[in-house]
Amino acid sequence: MKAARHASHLPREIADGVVWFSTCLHVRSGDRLLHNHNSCFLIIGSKRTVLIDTAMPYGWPTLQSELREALQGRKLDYIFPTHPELPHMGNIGPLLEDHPDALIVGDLRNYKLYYPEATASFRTMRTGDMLDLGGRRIALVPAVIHDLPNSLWAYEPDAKILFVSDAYPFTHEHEPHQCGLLAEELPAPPQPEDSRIVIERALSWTRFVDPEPVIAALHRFLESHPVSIIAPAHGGIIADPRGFAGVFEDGLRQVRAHVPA
Amino acid sequence: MSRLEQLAPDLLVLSDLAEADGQVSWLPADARGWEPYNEYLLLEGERALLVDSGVPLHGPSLIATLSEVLGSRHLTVYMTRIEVDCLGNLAALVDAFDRIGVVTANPISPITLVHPRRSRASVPVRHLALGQTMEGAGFPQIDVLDPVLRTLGTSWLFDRQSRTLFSSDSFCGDLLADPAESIVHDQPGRLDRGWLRNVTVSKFDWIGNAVLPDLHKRWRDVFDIIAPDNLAPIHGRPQRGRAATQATIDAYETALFE
Repeated sequence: MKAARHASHLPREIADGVVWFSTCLHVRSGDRLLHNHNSCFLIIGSKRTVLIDTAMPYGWPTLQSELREALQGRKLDYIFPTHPELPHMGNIGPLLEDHPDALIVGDLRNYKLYYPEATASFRTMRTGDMLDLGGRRIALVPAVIHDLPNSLWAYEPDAKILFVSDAYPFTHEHEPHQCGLLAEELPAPPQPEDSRIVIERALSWTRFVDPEPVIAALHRFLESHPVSIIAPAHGGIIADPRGFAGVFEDGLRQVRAHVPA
Repeated sequence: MSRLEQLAPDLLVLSDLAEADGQVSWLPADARGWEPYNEYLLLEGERALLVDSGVPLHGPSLIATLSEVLGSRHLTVYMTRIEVDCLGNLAALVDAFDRIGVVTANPISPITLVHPRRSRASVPVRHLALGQTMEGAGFPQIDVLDPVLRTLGTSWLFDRQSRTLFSSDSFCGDLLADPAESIVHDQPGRLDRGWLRNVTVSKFDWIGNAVLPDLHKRWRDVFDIIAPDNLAPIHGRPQRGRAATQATIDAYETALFE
């Protein structure tokens, strides 16, 4: 596919008809300058297409051209913001200008306040609802780990891809080409510390919550939703979910452990 | 035009109302009444501080009201969170007012999250750390606080002069029964604690899994030090006066921790 210029460059096709776009934020942690992804994903079916999340507004000019190239003349039919936080939905306005027939789908509470001119494009969907893209389906599933309460995840049951929004985040180094690498391709494997840095900023409630019931709920979810690929908004793509699980889970535990008594 | 009421000398609340209909995530689905959406404007000589910018639905009334009230003052906009109910009119504000700057305690620059017509580089953005004052932005009497309750990166402000706590998405449960009522509430002791718990958990749904003694200690650490005379949330009725404010804080504390 044309969108995948090189394995380590973005946008990158991470599975057949699934394209990963991202704009990285620079994060300073002590003396280290790190990157943190703000990603969105285009899924192309035989009949319809969906963009999961919209990435950061300041990255719109790049996303606009990359998305146009990835669509290869196809329409964008659906925009699914996982939740109404600007790194996940802040490009809805310009997306609707480019794709006026696209529908906004998901838990759309609050959106009439945010996009009052676009209410005709809203289609509320709930956990268990399915988008039929033609030859592939996208299920909306509970966001087991989230910040805002009206969050949903997406699950592609055929390729077994789970789009987890704010879960499974981690930073990567400020070095050429790292932004487009899978977690398993990074020169140094991600560590729990790399996940903790993002968790404590993006999911700050973890300071006050015992992580073990949260992790247990995640395990129960994954037992009923087998995954081959995890696609986070704020981390690289994870192609070995079982191998990476401990990084995220120990990152959650570290946040709680770092809270001063 | 937004409704304008005074919370303290030179401190105005600008409000637009929306009828509660179960279609916002921070209220219980059965909430009824009228919900004020607030921004706060502190006027100080040739400077003005706007705390948060409201939702785009109310953008035209906010801009029209500020255009009348501000005069030639320089406008500083403080963002307590990077959620759309705080940032929703930031682009409209920077496009409408030339003499404007943005201040936040969030590491993400708010201007990178919106789509102004003017260049983002032309908008001065100052980042503060929790625990600092807003002296560098011309408001030395305002402290930037680490909030007790937060889901996203959030800060509270405390104005030591008016003793007003700008509490962002906390203390948002006081709705109007009748849209003709005053936005500002100044009578203590009429809030139902079951409702306060429900409305708080609607926004901060993680409270159901929280280690409550730790959270309660954080609450006490903050409210043992500051004793606000006014409470200024982004949604719901602001509380004016020591009695109404303390009664509201006490009611939330009981609702969440007892």
